[in-house]
Amino acid sequence: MPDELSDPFVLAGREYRSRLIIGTGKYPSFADTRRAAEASGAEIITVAVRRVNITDPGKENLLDHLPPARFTILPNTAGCYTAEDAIRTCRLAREAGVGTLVKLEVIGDEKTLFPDVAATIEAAKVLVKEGFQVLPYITDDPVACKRLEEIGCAAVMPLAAPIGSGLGIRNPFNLRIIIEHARVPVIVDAGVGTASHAAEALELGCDAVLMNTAIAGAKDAMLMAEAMRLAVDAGRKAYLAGRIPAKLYATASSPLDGLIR
Amino acid sequence: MKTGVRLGLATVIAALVPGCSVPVASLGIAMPRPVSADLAASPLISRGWREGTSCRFWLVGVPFGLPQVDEAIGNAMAPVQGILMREVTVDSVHPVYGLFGWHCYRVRGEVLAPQGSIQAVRADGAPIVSRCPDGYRPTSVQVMVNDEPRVVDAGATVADLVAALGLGPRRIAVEVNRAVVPRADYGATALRDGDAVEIIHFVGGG
Repeated sequence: MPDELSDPFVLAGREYRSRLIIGTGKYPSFADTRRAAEASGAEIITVAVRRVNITDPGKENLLDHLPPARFTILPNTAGCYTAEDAIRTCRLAREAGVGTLVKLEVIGDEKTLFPDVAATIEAAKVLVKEGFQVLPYITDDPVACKRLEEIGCAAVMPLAAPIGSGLGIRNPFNLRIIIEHARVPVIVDAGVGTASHAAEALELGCDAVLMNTAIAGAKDAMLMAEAMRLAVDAGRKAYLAGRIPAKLYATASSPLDGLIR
Repeated sequence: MKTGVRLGLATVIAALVPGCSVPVASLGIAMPRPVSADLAASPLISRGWREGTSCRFWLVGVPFGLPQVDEAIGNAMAPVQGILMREVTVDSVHPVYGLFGWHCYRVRGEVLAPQGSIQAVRADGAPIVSRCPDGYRPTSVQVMVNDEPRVVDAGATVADLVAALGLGPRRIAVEVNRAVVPRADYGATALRDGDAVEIIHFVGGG
């Protein structure tokens, strides 16, 4: 029977038990972020790269609460609109000493936050050459995902729906095509709103799910973090179990033989 | 601002003593240019003690213009958008190179600026060296850290800056003029006047 240990999530040469990756944005405090991370069971967490406020550097730091010894830190390039900015952000992130894993996002549109596919591919080429393990946020486009895989990205991260929208998986058929052809992990990134969406992604065969707002924005973030942990587990197990094909008409569950006449 | 006959005379005497720095004047308050009523009415806060120079060269004893105290004060105030300088002292500086030499006025004083303008972080002078000779060595330089001006000692390194900001033990990364500085090189990377320094860390994000 597959359990968490016999079915690890392998990303960039490392094994993880959890298939849930969570973002650390939008929490009221570092302590809340930590509690949500614990409740979700996530082992990989995303962080953003920003300027230190030099007039008031503050006493506390995010990584004091989420120690890199415990969590794999995945810096993102959120807010970058050009390949150049994204590359620069990744170089800085690596220098800050949390490894070479980066979540590459090059945004192409302010309102939808959809990725700029061409710029993402351009940045990925440079970053892979520089030794980064690149996890690109990308549209649910099988061709774009293929290109990114060919470049040498460590995974592809198609979106389910716009970032923070909570709309769930808008195009499960594209995702299926992407999953069928990918030889690197497929991680659904963005658009998950609730536990069933996460379960659906895993049921489709995605290797993992990345989310932030769905947990951080829930009325009870800790409870939603736990719900997501269970949903991801359930979805994965359902995928491995192999679901029955969907049929239009009924099939009786009870035997017809021995019916009382 | 009229500097007066005394200042002129002192300058002539000072000019006869080559290579020296001679105090020639102290002024209570200096305001080199008129400011708008709005600015004059807003509360002034100290931007610290700063330094500025105005220099002209001479050749075979013939001066090519005279340095201006006003200009030196303006240079001292410019980086912090000051409008007033108080307790100003003026030195006359004369580096000489054979038949060629410089004559500079160096002013020091406390710069006052309207509240809300940019902030000087340390209470010592930050000279703007305009048209200044080699013989003049600034004691501090100004760099931009995350787009904010900051005064550091001349010769200070990235390691000094990081320590001064209290960021030593943090997980940060530093760029100087858009090139990443590896942590191992912090101590060997000297900051120069006008360097653009970027310091980042990790914050919550998705």
